[in-house]
Amino acid sequence: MVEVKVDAVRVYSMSSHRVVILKDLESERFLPIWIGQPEAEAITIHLTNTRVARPLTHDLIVNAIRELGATVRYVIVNDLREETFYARLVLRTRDGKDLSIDSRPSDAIAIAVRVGCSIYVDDDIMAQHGQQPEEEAGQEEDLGAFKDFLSTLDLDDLDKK
Amino acid sequence: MIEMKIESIRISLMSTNQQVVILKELDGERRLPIFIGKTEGDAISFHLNGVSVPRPLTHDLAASILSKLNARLSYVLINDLRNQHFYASIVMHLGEDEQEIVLDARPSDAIAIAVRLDCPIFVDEHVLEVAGVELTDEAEADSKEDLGAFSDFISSLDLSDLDKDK
Repeated sequence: MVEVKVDAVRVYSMSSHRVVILKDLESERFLPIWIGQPEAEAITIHLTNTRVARPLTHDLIVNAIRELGATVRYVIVNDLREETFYARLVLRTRDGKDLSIDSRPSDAIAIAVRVGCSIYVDDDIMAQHGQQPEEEAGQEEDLGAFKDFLSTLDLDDLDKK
Repeated sequence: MIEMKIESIRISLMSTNQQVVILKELDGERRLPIFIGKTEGDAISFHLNGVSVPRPLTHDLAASILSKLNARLSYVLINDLRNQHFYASIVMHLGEDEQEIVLDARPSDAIAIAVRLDCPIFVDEHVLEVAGVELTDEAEADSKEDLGAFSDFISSLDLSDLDKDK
C-alpha cells in the first residue's frame, strides 16, 4: 500500500468530469483519477474550508459513522477494472471489528479528507498507472516547438511593409 | 407527524441544477414541493426507477454504511423550514438497547436514503401547514377556465371558410 495525498482537483474545459490527482507521499508519482463533478465539489469544498449552510451528503455520512460509534481507519484505491477505479472504505466498528465497504474512489476520498484518515493506493496500481512528471528535457522540447514556430516566421515581410 | 409518499420529481426548465421533489400526504391531498439539487434528485429517481449503475452512488454508499454498522433506520422526518431551507432528520436505532440516533440532514439526502432502506417519510404538521399546497376546487375551476379559453377559440373559427377554399 502506497500512502498518497490529494495533490489537486482539476477541471477540464472540454468535459463535465474532474480529475483528482493523488500524489505518492514519498516520491514524485501521481495517480490521476476521473471523478464526477458533484464528488469533486465535495472534496474541494472541504479542502478549501468553504462553509456550507447545510451538511452535504459526505458530511452526513461522516456524521453517521461517528454517531454509530465507528471510525474510518483508512481508504484505499485497490483495483482498476475496465478503466474504472475501485476503492474501499475500512471502518472500525464500536465493537472493534474491521469492516471493508465497496466505494467509488471519489466518495472514499471525500470522506477521507473530512475525517483526516490516510488514503492509500494499491502497490500494483501505483506501479502500473502512477505517472512521473517529465524531466526538464520535456520543457525544452516544448520550448523547441515554439522555437520551430518562430523560425518559420518570415520576418523580412515586416520590413517590406 | 404526517406520513408522505414521493409523488414525483420534476425538473425545472429554468435551472438545470435544480429539481423539485413533490411529497404527497398518504391520507390526504396536501403536497409539499421541495427544491433539491440535481445530484440528489437523480439519486432518488435512479433508485425509484431501478436504474442500474455500475458503481455505488454516494447514497448507495451511505445506505450500505448504515446497514453494515447495523443501524436500523426508523424513519426520516422533514421537521423544519427556516429561511427558506427545509431541515430534516434521519432517525435510527442501534444495538440491542435500541439506542436512538438522530442525524441532521438535508431533505434530499434523507429521502434518497429512505428510498434505499425502505423507511417511511414524515413531515411535521407545522411544516405542512406553512409550505403544503392543496389542489382545491379552485384549481380545478381554473383548469375548466383554461378549457373555456380553448372553447372560445374553437367557436371563433369560421368553418365556412373551409368550404370556400374548395
